[in-house]
Order: sequence, then structure tokens, then C-alpha cells
Amino acid sequence: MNLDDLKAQWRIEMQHTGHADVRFEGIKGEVSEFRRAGRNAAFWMIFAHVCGSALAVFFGWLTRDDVGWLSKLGIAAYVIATIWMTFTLLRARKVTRSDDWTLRSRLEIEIERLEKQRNLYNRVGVWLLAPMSVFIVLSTLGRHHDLTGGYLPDLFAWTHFYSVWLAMCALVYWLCRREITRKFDPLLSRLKGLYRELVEN
Amino acid sequence: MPSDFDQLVRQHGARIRRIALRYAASGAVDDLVQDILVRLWRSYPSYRADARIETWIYRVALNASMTYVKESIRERERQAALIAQSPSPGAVQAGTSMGDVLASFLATLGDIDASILMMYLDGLTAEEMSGILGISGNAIAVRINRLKQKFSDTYVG
Repeated sequence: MNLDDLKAQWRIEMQHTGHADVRFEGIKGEVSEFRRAGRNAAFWMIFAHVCGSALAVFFGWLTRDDVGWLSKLGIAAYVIATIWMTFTLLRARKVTRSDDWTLRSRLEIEIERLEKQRNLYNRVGVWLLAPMSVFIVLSTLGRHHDLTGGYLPDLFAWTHFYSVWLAMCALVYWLCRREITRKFDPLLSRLKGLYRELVEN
Repeated sequence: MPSDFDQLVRQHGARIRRIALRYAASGAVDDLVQDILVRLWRSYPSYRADARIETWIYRVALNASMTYVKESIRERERQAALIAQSPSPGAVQAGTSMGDVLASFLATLGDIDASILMMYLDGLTAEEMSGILGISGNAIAVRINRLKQKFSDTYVG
């Protein structure tokens, strides 16, 4: 017996059409789902921050007469943070490798995409938490200055406020690290293993 | 859904399911079959009739299968460990069907070698496989020879 003897068995299995259980309505729905997937979480995040910064500019700056320089600086920081965040998120979606429809290029693309997403989660402090923290600090101090005329806040109250903010940042960072460990690393390891298996003789 | 696509899927449904069976974790085969069908449907307008239909199906199905790992990593690792622990099949015993031999041999191979074996059994040429996998025809020929040797060592003894 040799390997070619299995060809007959393979042909028999291929003629067995009883397995073709096709849910056509399901396919239609999933195709729509694929198209909708383009408008994913990154889109909504960008959308939310663009709306947020537009509202901050309109209600926090343009429609008020008592806005001090510190508040304006805070709002400007938010607008800049939104632009940077948008740029970072869009850049992370862009894949540089070309798809020639081979398994090799598909694996390369998947690996590049996942590495970019992993990097995005890994650097969440740089592109999301740090800019938002600058905005939060500047805008809260600015509002305090606008209302009281003083720069020094009530340390006890502000310590509590910033502690809550820091705890939120820590939670977001921890969730991202968990996602990296539980989702991205195993996926990347598997895809890289497959890639090595494909290209190494 | 055009009737020719309907016809195509019914005609090649067993092939699609066989590929999915090799790559999906148990319990996730139907999901992978659906995923492959969705991708086939999406790429159907770009399918060139001058290429063999099997080539197109393998291209789409293998791309889908190899990247369909999100829910299946742990389960597949468990299955691989079970296969590794099971004793070597040795020479074919009387009463062992060819279907069993095919299934057990496929299970012992790595994902890439299994894809090459399925395409080889389906009669695809090294050039066609090269176009699907993105590696040279020579590399494919070497792997097929290695598969033949491994099969011989395992089942002929």
C-alpha cells in the first residue's frame, strides 16, 4: 500500500454529497455582517471622540465668555488627542503587505494585522490614556480657575478625583494587557507557527 | 443566491466539509464550513472560470481555515496532545478501512502538510498547489515525497 492508494478513498468521500448542509439565508446574513464589521469598535471610538471634542469646543469654549486660558488649553489638548488617536487607530488598520491570494500572503497579512493590534493594546497608555489624562487635568484645573479665579485646587477633593481617574486608567491598561495575553499572544503564536511550517522546509 | 453558486456548493459541499473537519475543533466544524461558504460567496464574482474550481475552493477554504483559530486554539492543542500520546498506528491491520487510514494519517500531519496531502489526493498539480500556498513547486514536490515516505514508514512498516 502506498499514498496514492488513498486517492480512491478520497474520491469516494468527495462524492458523498450528503454532507452539504448549506444555510443560504445564514450566508446572506453573514456577508452583511462582514460588511458591517468594517464599521467596528475603532470607528465608534473615533466617532465618540470627534463628537466629544466638537461638543467641548462648542459648549466649553465658543458659547461661554468666561473661559480662561487653562480651559482653552485643556480643550485644545482634547482636540489634538482626538486627532492623534484617530491617526493611530487608522494606521493600525492599514496593512502594508499585498494580498496575492496565496496562503503565504494571507498569513503574512493576518500576522501583520494582529501585531499592529497587539501593539495598539500594548501602547494604550501612550495614545489614549496619557493624552486623555492631560485633557482631564487641564480642563478640570481650568474650570476651577474659571469659577474661583485661583489656580490651587482643594487638594483633598482633587486627590480623590484624580485617584478615581488613575484607577480607571489602571483598569483600562489591565484589560488591554489581559486581552494581549489571552487573545493576541496565542493567536500570533499559532499563526507564526503555521507560517514557519509553510516556509521552512 | 444564484442557482449556479447553489449548484457549486452542493457539488463541492463534501470537499468543503472535509477541509473544515481537518482544521476546526470538534464542535466548530459547522461554523468553519459556514465561514468558508461566506468567503466563497464573497469571492464568487472574482472567480475565474479558466481556473479549476477545486483550485479556487482550496484557495479560499485553506485561507479561511488557517486563520480560523480564534475559538479553537485550546481545543486543537488538546487534540494534538491526544494524537501525540496515542500509539503509532503501525502497519495496517486486517479489517482497517482505507477511510480510517486516511483519517488517522491526516490527523498525524501538521496543518500545512495536511493541506498538501488533501490537494494531492484531489489531483491538484504542484504548480496549482504552489499558486494556492505561495511556496515553490520544488518545495511542494519535496514535501509530497516526504509524505509518501512517512506514509510508507507508518502504515507499511
